[in-house]
Amino acid sequence: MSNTQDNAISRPFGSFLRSRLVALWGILILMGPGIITSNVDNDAGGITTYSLAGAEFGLSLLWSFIPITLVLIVVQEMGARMGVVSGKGLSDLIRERFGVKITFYLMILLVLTNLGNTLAEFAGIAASLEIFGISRYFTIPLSILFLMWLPVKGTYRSVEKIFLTACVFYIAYVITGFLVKPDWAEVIHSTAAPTLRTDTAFLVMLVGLVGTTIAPWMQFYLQASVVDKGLSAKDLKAVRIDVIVGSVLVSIVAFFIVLACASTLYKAGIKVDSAEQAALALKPLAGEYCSWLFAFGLFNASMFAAAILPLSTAYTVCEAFGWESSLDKKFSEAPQFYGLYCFIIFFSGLFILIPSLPLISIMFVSQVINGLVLPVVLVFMLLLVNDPAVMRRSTNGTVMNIVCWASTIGLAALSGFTVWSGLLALLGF
Amino acid sequence: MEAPRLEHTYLSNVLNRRVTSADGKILGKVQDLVIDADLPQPEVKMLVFRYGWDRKAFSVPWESVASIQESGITLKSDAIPASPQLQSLPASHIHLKDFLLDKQIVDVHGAKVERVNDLQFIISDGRLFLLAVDVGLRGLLRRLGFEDAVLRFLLWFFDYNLKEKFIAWNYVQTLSDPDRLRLEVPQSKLADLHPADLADIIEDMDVHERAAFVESLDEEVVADVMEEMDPKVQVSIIRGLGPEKAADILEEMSPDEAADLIADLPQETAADIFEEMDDAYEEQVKDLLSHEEDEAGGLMTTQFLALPPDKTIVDALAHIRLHADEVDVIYYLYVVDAESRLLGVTNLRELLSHEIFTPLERIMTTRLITAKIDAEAEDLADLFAKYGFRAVPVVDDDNHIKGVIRFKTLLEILAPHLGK
Repeated sequence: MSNTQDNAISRPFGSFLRSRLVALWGILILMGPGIITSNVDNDAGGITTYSLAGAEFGLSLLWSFIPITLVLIVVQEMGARMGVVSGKGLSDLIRERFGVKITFYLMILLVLTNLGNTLAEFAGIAASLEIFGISRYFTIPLSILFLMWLPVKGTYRSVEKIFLTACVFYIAYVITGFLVKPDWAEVIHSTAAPTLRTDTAFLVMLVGLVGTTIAPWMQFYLQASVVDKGLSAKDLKAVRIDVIVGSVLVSIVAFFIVLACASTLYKAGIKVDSAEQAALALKPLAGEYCSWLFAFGLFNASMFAAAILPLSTAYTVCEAFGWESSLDKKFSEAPQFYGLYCFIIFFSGLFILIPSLPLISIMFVSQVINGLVLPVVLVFMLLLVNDPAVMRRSTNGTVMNIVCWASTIGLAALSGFTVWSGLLALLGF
Repeated sequence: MEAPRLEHTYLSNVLNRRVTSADGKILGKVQDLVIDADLPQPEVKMLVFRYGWDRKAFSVPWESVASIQESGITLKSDAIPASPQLQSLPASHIHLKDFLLDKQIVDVHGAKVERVNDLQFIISDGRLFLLAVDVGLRGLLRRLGFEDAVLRFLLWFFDYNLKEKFIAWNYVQTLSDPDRLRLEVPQSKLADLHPADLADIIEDMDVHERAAFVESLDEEVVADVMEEMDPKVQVSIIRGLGPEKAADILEEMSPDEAADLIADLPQETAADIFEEMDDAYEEQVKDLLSHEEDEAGGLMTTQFLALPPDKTIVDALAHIRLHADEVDVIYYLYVVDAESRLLGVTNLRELLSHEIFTPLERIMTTRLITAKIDAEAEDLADLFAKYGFRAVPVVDDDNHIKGVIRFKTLLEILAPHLGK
């Protein structure tokens, strides 16, 4: 045969180009789970926290993104590895190793946390569109309809493509960060040389940054998507790259939000206490476009997370209890799955429409539950990832274990601190 | 002797029950039960319990159990608790809590993967027989300790009686142990399921279960099952196999399905598989691969029946009988000249309704509906909708027949757009 040298599938040039594009798309698909998870992580709560961090403390918290990114990578890699090696989701594994009782109460906690988070996302959608002057009584029902339509009618692939495309819009924040013309020398200095203050406000903000970046639902979502993609041990390397790229991306976006707010609001001495106030305050300082970009970013982040969080919750819970859970199934085939999805969206969406709601307290309570659940989830993950019955030869190494347990204990201590200081604040001390 | 009393119990009721010796000494709490799964009606053979702070495990054969009561399990006076030696147990002995509870099983009768919430036993004469696997909500509630409360509430408030959902043990295929799976599947009822049902079941398994399951099936069956499967799962299974085995399976599939699958594989995996593949088949698949996936050329199969016009119905039927196993389109027989230019078409109905020595050119239809090799899927759909064919031949500009598009293939492409 004439074609013996070339083992690859021979195609004419047009098809060759197409096959390249297909390959690129293949990489995008493979690079999905980690990047999507990380980007959903930059949700309404995240953007609020980053804006406040920049506005209140200027550049002095920028350094924290380096350790946060490292811990994020370590934790996410563990989850992704578990998914790849065991071929099972996290709630699946917890159910199989720790029994139904522990799973049941963990799932209740997780649903509560995610309900709170989704509530915050809807608040983000409402607030960001109100910057453009559209009332929430119009936008929220529309968003609920959109989110209902997305998985119930669309197929999984188109849903995922929408989400992947949405990731690109996070560039809005990076552009905003450049448009406000920060003092780059100062930026580099404050990133490289950490400043640590011991006053409570500073520490609470630090905890907030960590807490909003590493959330319990992410671990379930990431592992489930890895399994759902049918990735196997051969893909471990690609999955690791995906996780690292995702974690770095999320931190870059967060970095630029802090940067934008620090170079404008902090310099001008403006106090804000929400992301939408930050967006509005940017207008006179950095021009209308920055304000719009910021608002658009907030909208996209909130919408993205509002679609993923209920989906992830429904997946996780159904997986734990062995109920049918797939976007490819009809409503009548997977009633618990779609039921839970719809309940979370309707409940949180309609809740937001209640006039004069103490939104800040609600978001805070959801953050507290987040903080409480995270160490629990991490401990389960660590027990599982060190179990040879689950992980075969891919259990954690000694170094990895030291890093992981240290991170977990550190995160638990930080969460404990947030909860404690939050309780004090709630009680009025 | 009095008649044996029949009574049901559940694993969740037995676990953590107190174990006492004949003289009333507390020995520990029930940790697990071991059954012999190879018996037609599997019976509990061993009781495992744990004692003390270090939760040291002991086991006794079930013959040493004197009585099972709500208050606890009492052993006979001659019982000697020993440390369980897992290795010495025969392969047919399985630990119920370790291997079954909370794990996934296949309900062979309902062709579904389910999660085990509880196990139901029948107590007969002090012996415990495994009856069924509980996969329902009631099993879940029983484990959580809410069964009574929820049942009463539902009955009182909604007048609704929550039903049990059991799968009889004969219809259960366990998945936890790949070695068992490999041994059991070939003899189990699973192998007799319809490929579409098997595909659904495999899609619900994890990667290791899939690998063991696919390995235990016959290549022909795997090929049939693959054709019914989600492309993502197809890719994951093929990548998990060695190139040789993968090539064998692909060769059993119809070339158009195989080409679609190969197009989704990473380049190196595809190249490795081509190395192992039969040359003629490889050429067919590569030919199909050179066309766009959603055009006639990419959708068609090259496994169809074609004969010259001077052959008779006898020849045709002999030809069909010879190739029935490998062709994808059996209803139509295409009549072609020596250069494989399409002259006409006939079908089984015509072949059966004419005198057997009639040459094909006398019965064939020459009013041909064909598709060009670059026709789009939507246009093809219109063709099928308009004429109601089961298959449409694909020709190039000189009317050479290149392949045949089956209605089934087109349906797979269009089904996602049909809405739910």
